[in-house]
Amino acid sequence: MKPSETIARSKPVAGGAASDEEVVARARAGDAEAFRVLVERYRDRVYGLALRIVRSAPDAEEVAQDAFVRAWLALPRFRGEASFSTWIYRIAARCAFDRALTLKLRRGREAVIEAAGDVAAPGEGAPRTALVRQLDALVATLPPAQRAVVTLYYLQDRSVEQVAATLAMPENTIKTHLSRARAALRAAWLAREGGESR
Amino acid sequence: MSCEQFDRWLDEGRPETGHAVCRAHAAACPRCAAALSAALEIDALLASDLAPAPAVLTDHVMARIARTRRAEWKLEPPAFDWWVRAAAEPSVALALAVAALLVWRGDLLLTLASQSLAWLGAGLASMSAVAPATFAPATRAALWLTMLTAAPWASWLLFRWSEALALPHVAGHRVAGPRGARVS
Repeated sequence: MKPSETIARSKPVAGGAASDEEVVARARAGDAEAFRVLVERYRDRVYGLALRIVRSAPDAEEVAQDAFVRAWLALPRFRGEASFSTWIYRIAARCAFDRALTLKLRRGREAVIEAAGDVAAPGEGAPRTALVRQLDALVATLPPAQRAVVTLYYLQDRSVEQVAATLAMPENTIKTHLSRARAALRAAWLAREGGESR
Repeated sequence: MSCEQFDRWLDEGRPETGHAVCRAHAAACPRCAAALSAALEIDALLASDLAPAPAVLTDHVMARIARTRRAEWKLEPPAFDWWVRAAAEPSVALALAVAALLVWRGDLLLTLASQSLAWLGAGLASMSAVAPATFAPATRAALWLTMLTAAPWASWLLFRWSEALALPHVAGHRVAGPRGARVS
């Protein structure tokens, strides 16, 4: 095996101290431990984004794995024009959209009718509040693009510009998705509250 | 302000514009007050942490990475500007020569082209006489389709070949390091 094909080993990276840029630079040079730091930093957000789009915990885990492996393979070509977070979210969103499409086709063939409450399973019985779970179930009823936009909007400091860059969509399209998602979620939330009070 | 306008303000993410007016409307309208309360609650919940990833995710990713060979894709900048490279292409020189001939002796070129076509037609006709089934309409259509598809590829290959012939080490972008990445 050629030296350039091996994964360079180095001393563990102090994940908390180093900035993304520093860790990315080391990972680009082939430092797998530096990449581990990036995985640790972004795993929850990448997994959460994937879960929102594919709505299945095992599939979301696979999507998150695929996204990180693709990022590792593509790191030598990462020029740092966008932040690493934008870049990894973009990869994860693409992987998740592909998987969601595959799942949709498969479910269509198998004629499985899914219930939104069943599929928005959180990872490993995490302590999620009832309200968050209820909202997750409502988000799961939105179309995939709206789910991705809503999730990324809150992941990326409520910046429409960054979400547009991540999903390679015009800003107006992102605003439209956000607006429709807000309206749908609000209506469902109010209907749920109405149902609970009766 | 109407309730529809208030809803639109909520759908837009409660922008600063019209904030005071909308708040005043919500204070007087129970329906819009409930909608605002729902919007704020949804906003807070969406901003809270997402479902955490399984604990084994990092180890799974690192295990896959350990089995993965990464390509060192590095594009070297071309040694010459595109117009220098283009000018050095034999295919470009050939195209220029044909164009010049077309301008200078267009009639001669057309005669040559007609003679070549006639020669090609005669050849095809003799072949079809030997094996007429080969040139059935469907076969002919398939041949045309294949030729149409193959022509751009052939042109591209000719271009690359002539480039490599003229500038063997400096033409275009070269990929340094191992080619392709394989995930085992």
